[in-house]
Amino acid sequence: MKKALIILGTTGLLVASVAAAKVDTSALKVQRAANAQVKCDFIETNVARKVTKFETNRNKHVTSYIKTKERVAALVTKLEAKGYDVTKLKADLTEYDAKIKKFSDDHVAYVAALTSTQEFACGKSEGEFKSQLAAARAVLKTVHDDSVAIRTYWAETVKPDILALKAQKITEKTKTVGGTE
Amino acid sequence: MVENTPLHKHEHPLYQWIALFASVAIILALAGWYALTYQSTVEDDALATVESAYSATLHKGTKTTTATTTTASTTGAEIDAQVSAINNETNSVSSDDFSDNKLDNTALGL
Repeated sequence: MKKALIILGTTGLLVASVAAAKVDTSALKVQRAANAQVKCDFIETNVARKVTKFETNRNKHVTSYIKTKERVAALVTKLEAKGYDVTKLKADLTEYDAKIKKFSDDHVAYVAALTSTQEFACGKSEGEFKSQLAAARAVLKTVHDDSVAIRTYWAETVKPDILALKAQKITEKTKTVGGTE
Repeated sequence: MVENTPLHKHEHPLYQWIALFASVAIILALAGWYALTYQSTVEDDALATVESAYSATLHKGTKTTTATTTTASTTGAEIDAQVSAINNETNSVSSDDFSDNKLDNTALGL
């Protein structure tokens, strides 16, 4: 009888332990799932915030670039009316405009790539999310390069060509005064 | 019979030749003087015209040069002002807005 009680007690303890372990495992799974949800919500929120931020930056940059382009265009018109040869500057302006358009288009592609990572952030494979994020980062690098290219083109091509026009006018008029009148 | 009367002094052939040469010489001298005087007047007038034209041209040229210099310096100042404004506009945005760290794991909270 005593033996039977010992066996029964031991068995009871074992069953209780296994049951407790099962409860723990389930709780852990629930906790993990909850954590994953929090994480993916966090990532989704961050990505959404990034998209908004990048959209704002895009508008700010494009607005600024267009303002500079319009200033150069107005200057070209005014100087041409005064008799300056603005052929080179006109060509510069066309190139400058193309660079702004490329920046704008690449930025649209970048935001689209970044937005698409959101659908992989929750409920899909982590691999797909990472792959899509890597693609978005690659386009971001292109956008960054576009922005640098615009600044460089202004500083190293358009600006020197505008400043060179100052000398052009004086030289031409000096020749006219000494030669024909 | 014709009386062989002596020739009067004025009727002497030599005297007549001398008078003829003297008259021709005076006429030639007068003609030369007139020609030289007339030519000189023409030259003076022509010179005056040329000088006047040259003076006008010179004056005009000077004025044009002055005006051109003024225009050029005005335009130069305007160009400088526009370049400065565009520089400021370009510097109002930064390419760093699109640098790698804007989308790295830390930025995304990964």
